[in-house]
Amino acid sequence: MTDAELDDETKGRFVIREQTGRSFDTSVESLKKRFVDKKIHSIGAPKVSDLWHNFTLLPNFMPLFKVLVWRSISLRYSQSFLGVIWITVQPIASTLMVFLMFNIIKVNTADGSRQGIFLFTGIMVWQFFARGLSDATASLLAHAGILTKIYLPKIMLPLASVMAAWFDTIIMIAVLILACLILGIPFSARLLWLPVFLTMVCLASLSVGIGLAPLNALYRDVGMILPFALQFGMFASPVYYATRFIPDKYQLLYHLNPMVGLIEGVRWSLLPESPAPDVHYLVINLATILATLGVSIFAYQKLESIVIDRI
Amino acid sequence: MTAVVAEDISKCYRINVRPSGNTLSGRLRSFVKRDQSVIHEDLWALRDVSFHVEQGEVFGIIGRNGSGKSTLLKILTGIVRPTYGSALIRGRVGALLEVGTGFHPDLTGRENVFFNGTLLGLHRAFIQSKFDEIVAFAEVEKFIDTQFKHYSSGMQARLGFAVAVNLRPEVLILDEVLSVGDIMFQEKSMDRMTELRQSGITILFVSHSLTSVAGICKRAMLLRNGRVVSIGDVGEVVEEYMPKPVMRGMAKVDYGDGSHHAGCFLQVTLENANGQPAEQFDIIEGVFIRVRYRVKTPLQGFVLGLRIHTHFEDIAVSYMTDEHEVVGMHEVGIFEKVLKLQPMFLKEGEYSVTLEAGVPREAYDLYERALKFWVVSNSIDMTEKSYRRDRSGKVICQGTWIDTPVSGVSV
Repeated sequence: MTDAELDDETKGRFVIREQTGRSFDTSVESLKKRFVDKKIHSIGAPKVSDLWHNFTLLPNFMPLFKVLVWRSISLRYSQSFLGVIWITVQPIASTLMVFLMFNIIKVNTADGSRQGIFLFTGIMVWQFFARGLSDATASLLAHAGILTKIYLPKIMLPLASVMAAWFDTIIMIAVLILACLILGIPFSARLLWLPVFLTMVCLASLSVGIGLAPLNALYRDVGMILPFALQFGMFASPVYYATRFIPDKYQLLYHLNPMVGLIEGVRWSLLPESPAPDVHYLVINLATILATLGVSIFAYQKLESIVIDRI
Repeated sequence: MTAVVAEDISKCYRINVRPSGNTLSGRLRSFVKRDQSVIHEDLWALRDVSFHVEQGEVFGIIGRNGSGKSTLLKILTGIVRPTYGSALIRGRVGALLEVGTGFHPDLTGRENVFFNGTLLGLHRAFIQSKFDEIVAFAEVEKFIDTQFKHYSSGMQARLGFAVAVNLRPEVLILDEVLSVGDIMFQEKSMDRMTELRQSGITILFVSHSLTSVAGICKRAMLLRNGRVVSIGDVGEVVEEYMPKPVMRGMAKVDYGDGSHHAGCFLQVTLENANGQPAEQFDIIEGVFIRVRYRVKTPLQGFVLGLRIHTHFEDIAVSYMTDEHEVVGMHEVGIFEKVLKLQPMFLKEGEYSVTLEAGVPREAYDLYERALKFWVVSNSIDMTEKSYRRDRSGKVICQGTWIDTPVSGVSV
């Protein structure tokens, strides 16, 4: 194809050919910016700015996003007798079991609050994190079919899983608030912090989920390792016991786990007797989460195109 | 104005021969051990594919299976990313790749129509206004609120095509989709495509049906093994694609004293107008088949037949008795007859001749594809001829076009 065959406008947009193997530089994008014509879109080898581009396209895909979220949610309860209530059955059942067990062996692991509510809040937060994370990790593989047929910003898939986990959590918060009212536990202005902490939990599950999703799609053993890791994480977090039980020399190490601060935070916002989480540790936790998010996003962007080829 | 421009689009797939490729632990292990024995091969599905398409053009992409056509289309629609190379597309892209592409199986037909429209950047109101037209074109009124995954492949193809075509993208990419629908649908689609072409939409058309491609496209591109072999006028590109005839003919076959049958072939020769044995004939030449045969005893109703065929099908057959109705007693002896195939009858290509001989209730000799010859067109420029090789029609139809005055109409 010679230059003579291209009109002048298009000639100006073109990149000089590079050697085989080296990825194209982003000149196509920069050339595009110089021209006002917004209708041109370019196709090229994957590059870092793609992720941002994906996010800007997300509004176009809202209908599909809603369907994906709804599907994740309804899969769980649409076939069941109890419907939406089913979502809460498993955490309530776990709470009851552990509560019973602690009662029988006469151990109080709570931080001053009532044991039952203490357990339920911990389980609820952990459920949010773990469920969101596992679903997000599995999301790309689960939708392998449409990935090869539709052009869609694939980042949407793990996001939808986490949104579905939000739905579950909101139902559980409703149950929790109901339980608090029944038990006569007062609420205070601290409740306003609840959405903040929950958002951080959401970020935490996204921060790992986004990176693991493509890995899981490429390598089968990731999906098998994850349940073990989550199991370990659950015991390393104050789900069933309060942080004061951890010996002092391990407190620092313990608090490096972001979920520690977040679970404590949720409890503090809901229950009057719970101690406030240590702000210093919280800041470190937030930093960890954001750093992990950054790494995940980077890994995701690198792996996304490989996943399409191999899935 | 150029609508689509691609430069050096290339896609490399890595084929793993390694045993541990599928697990993270496996990868880590081989990484740590610096295992040199793990091999992977690079498969270049596309290599340095460059082309451009003007706005309003219908551009054909042809090639054998595995030549990279579908990969190229997936790259142009953004589903797959190229390894290197870039392309620019001006305007909204509507694509119809495999049946059901661009449609989410769990959404209903209605939701999918709106979904696709939003993907194309259209407003809901606009899609709504086109909605009835789309559903009517696809003939899926009863099923529009059923989930897409429940549609038959025909319905999926129809709805896909209806959406792609009615939502007026500026660039439309079609891959082999028309082959799924039934005849009525194919006709409808072809009509609509011609209509679209006139409205200024740029179309990239991939098909195995060379007649469709030659019929609609003005320019085309031939891909082979991922590379562009030929770009340009559709006639030339299609010629390039056609398998070249194996130029080995069989002009003469000799059966010595013939078979044991009462009536048998002795010698059959292909000759040109000068009486010389020939394997290659020009379109404007007549083909002569000289048959020498023997009859050993008087035979009632003895008939010879010559069957002309291409590689895949029989084109024509001629019996000795076509010349006269009454088949009487055939005398004993050695005879010779010449069958003349008229000029301007056979199109370019390879042909073979099957020899048959027999009486009404019994076949005597049958020699399949005993002779081979081919027809070329050295003396005529075939560009505008209806009997060009890639155009439809099995043989040349010699009609005459006569101008007649138009009566009763004033200009």
